[in-house]
Amino acid sequence: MSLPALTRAQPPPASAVRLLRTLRWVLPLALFGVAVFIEWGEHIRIEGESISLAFVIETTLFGLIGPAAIFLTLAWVVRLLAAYVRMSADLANANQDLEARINQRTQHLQEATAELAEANVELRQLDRLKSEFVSLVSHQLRAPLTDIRGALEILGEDASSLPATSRRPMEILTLEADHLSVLITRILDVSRLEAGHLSMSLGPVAIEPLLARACAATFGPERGRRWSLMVAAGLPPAWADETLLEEVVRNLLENAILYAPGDDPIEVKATMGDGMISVAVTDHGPGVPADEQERIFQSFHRVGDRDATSSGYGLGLYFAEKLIDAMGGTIGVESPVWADPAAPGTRFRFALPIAADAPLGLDDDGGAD
Amino acid sequence: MARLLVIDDDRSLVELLSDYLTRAGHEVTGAPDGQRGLAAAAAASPDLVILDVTMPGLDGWQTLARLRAEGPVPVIMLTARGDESEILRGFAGGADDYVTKPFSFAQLAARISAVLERTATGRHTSEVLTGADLEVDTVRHRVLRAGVVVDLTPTEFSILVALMREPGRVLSARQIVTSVWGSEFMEETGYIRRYVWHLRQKLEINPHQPRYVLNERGIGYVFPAAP
Repeated sequence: MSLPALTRAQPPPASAVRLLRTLRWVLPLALFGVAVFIEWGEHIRIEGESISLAFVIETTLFGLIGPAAIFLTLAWVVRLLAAYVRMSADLANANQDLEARINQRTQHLQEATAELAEANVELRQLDRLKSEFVSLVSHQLRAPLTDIRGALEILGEDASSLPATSRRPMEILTLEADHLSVLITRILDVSRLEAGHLSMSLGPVAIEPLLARACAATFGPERGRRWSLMVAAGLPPAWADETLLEEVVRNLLENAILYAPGDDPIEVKATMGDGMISVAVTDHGPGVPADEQERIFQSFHRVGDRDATSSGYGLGLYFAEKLIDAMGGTIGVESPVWADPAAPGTRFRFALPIAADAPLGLDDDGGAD
Repeated sequence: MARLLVIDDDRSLVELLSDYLTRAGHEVTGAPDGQRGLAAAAAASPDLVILDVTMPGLDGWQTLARLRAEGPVPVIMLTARGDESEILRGFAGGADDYVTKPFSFAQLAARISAVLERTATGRHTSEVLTGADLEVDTVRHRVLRAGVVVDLTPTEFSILVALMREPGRVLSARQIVTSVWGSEFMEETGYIRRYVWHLRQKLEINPHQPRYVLNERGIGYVFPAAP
């Protein structure tokens, strides 16, 4: 890349300086010659004066003053010009040097940009390879996992005939196989989401039926958890993918059960504010420390040091955040929620846009009955 | 109860499924690849085939195509999660249902019963509702308008199906809500106008002049009966 030439006055050519240097001598001498010639012509030839010392001195002095003044002026102009020419040359050199340095820097920059682009391509390839690897491993894991779960189902049918000491290990095996299944499914979902292969079907989503379904499925009677659901009256439908949104809600509810064991109820509340539908899941658990709240939505981040039997894998909230973001919403965490220092609680809240209403004046009354 | 053929290169899965489904009262044959699966299908004339998609040699889709060329035996595909395009391809190729690995055997057994029941009642593949140039497959949850897939959310799909099941009959907002979400939400009729608006945006060629979901003022909505 070349820079446009800087606009500047062109220095006089060297021949002009040389000419001035010559004129500096020639012009005064010529003038001196002319002055002496005229003086001599006038006084000796015309007026017939004789050549005396006074006459020679006078003529010489008068003939010298003018040329000397011209000589000095021209010498000064020549010096000025010479200085200007030198300065211009220095400036041109400096400019050339600057341009050379700029070109060099530009070249370095281009090289660095090319290296960066290359590194970026390599990173993308690595990322794609990672996603493909994760996907491949997950796919490969599913076959044996299907076998394990199937074998356990067959064993489960004969559970009553198993010795009592074998029943509990079998229950644990079944539970862990189910957890592994959830984990593999989640890893696949995340890798698809990151690779942009998770397609969404956006549309209106009535929040109350969705929350009621998710609560009923997650807090089934066998889990014995207390819970409450409050939905503001007249809440309009949100704009979301209903299948994926239900997955997000179930994940938040599972998290609440996992991280807030005990008898206190898990509260689910849907409201409207700032032109968004807001859903909050609040527990009475130990809360999330302030320094962990920012990292809680990162992949494989888990709150606290949970024991090995915990079923959290640190992917649920990461996935939830990505999904809510892709639906045009936001998700956040608040803690503490309650004044009780022993159980400060955690509140996860996500907000989603409201589904656009049918335009007014449409010949459609909603089938009011 | 029924003769089933399981075609999967995972021999442990074939063995376990055979055991489970035999206990459930079925007669089960297994085959480790597509080629031998086709031979077993020709020899045993199964009532239903359970077919894995990913197999070396003749894969599940190729095996399905050849099975379909031989006759109308119902097929349940064992697919990978998230391969929506693959699943659509499977349905286009004539699969009756699918389950994604890892699946529970009880879930597969329930799908087998449902497919066998549909087959026995004459609805060989699935219930397909038609009206104007719409084709709605209620089992595969697929809507085609003039042969082109229209992407609807599950609830939009349910609203359309509720109307298409009774063409020409006007359903009130309350009836639609009850049909879609259950009777506990029957008073939540405020959603319906908004849902119908978005449904029309996706379904109708001109949402301002709907052809499929019409409003009867003061009464409700109707899918027009064929003239």
